[in-house]
Amino acid sequence: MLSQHGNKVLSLVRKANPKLPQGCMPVLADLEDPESVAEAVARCDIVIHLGAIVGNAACDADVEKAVRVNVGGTLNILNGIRFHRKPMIYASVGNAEDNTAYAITKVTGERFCLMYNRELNTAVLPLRIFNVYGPGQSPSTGKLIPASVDRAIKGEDLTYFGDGEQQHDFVYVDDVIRILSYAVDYVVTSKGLPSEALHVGTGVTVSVKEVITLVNQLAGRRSKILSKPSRPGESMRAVVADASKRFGPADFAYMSLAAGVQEMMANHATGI
Amino acid sequence: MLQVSKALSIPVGLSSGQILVTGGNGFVGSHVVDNLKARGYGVTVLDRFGEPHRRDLRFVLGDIRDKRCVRLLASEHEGIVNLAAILGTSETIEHPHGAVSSNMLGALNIFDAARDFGCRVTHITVGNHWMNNPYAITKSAAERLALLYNSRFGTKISVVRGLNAYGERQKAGPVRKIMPNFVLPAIRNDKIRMYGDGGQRMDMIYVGDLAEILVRALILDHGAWHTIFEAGTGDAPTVQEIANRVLEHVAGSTAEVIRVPMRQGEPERSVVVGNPETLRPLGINKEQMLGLDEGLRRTVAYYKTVA
Repeated sequence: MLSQHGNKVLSLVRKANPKLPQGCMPVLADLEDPESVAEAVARCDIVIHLGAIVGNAACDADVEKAVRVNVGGTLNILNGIRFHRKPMIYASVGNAEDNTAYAITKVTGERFCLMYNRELNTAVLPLRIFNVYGPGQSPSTGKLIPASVDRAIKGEDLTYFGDGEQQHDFVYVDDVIRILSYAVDYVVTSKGLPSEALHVGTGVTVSVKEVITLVNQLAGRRSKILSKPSRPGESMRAVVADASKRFGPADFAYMSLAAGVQEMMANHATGI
Repeated sequence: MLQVSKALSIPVGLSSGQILVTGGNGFVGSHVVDNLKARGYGVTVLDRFGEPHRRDLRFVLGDIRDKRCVRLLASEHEGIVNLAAILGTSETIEHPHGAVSSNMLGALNIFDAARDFGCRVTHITVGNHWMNNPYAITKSAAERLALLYNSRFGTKISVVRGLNAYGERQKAGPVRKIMPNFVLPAIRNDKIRMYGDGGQRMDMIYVGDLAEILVRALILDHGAWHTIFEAGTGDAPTVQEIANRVLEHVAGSTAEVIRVPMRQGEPERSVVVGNPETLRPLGINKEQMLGLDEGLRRTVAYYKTVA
């Protein structure tokens, strides 16, 4: 979306990535390598820091790597934007309180952003992005919606953990991109930075069970719905964007969950 | 003061054996070592510098960031008290990577060793865990990782938030701690430098009590491996009040209290206080802890011998 709007976009990559959108220039760098990160930062006007070991599965599999990339890598970026005086948007997680390696390391990065703003005069906007879903999200992430969509289309069993009453705030990926695009304008025009992370989410919760039921219904009700014991570290609290901390344009119209899931199913069919 | 009691009502899960104290040459470490020796444990100190304050133990010059070193030592010990860390509120702001590597990655080395070798661990963290400075950020991240390990792997890592410890052998630098930086100038009739307006409140715990809490958290089957112990008295005098109390204890001091700007990484008029109710699973209540007056008497007597 950024490149469609006439911006020049540099994408930090660790290896040649054929899937970069047109107009997007790759820059070879590694978040764990401070020099390559600083060099990449120097080449742009604003940094959107999304790079991380993402998700519970990947972070649990290698907690040390999650610390090195999600915390140490964020420090490398912060040192780069401090030195080169560039603004930044930091993507944090909505389920900040969950005791998982992913949430712990992402929130640690977020706290360092706030510290750099306060003590070292950087301009970082930390955004807690709630449960993002949308076309292109791989079922292998283990994330609820892409995994369920994939299984429902194949007619395989759908599973929820615990009582399925965990409440999440699901936000469609295009909505997140539009809000990030708004955030770019926001930090560039330096409208003042918050003293804590702001929230990107719909403010509406849907239970895991409701999601699975909806996905099954939209796929033609061919799957059986099963329950399994709850997973350690998973909170039973509702994870939802706080109205007083929501970030985005006023009167932003979010995509409905049903419409978003239908988009994913349409894309799944065409293999995208 | 908390007594090294052999007749606790809580079962002792680790009644003898070898204990590794990382950062054992430091201020808190030296008191933990004394406590463990008084209980009859064998002690190894792992530290990057300095030397132990007593001879009847093993000393290894090493670093918790060195995974092989930690694993080798863990395989030879039943318990670990992890006190090794990069300290400092304002001191770490320009060098946060160091705090991440010792306080998070080093701690993970200890937690991994606890999981793989079955060691019990006491992991110390900070009372001002919510403050956004590298010390507090990395320490509070590590306490969450410790609880994650306990729930995922069944490790017995006790997390103890140490409030503001003071007492014999605490150094005045390089990291600035309140008590030596108030008592030593008071004895020398020098200027006592106080950050901000002195309205910050802090919970002062005598180091002997902190050491007893850390050791009980290690050896007792307290069952509280999913919650956090707060090693504090629950009282939080202002920094100005602490300065006044110090001056009362140093007879005839003509030292003057002067205000200096707040240091980086610490908000003004903050309140850092522990909840001693969290210590109940260790058989501890606040009435058993040493009061500030008696603690100051001992502390001033110590600094008079070294000033």
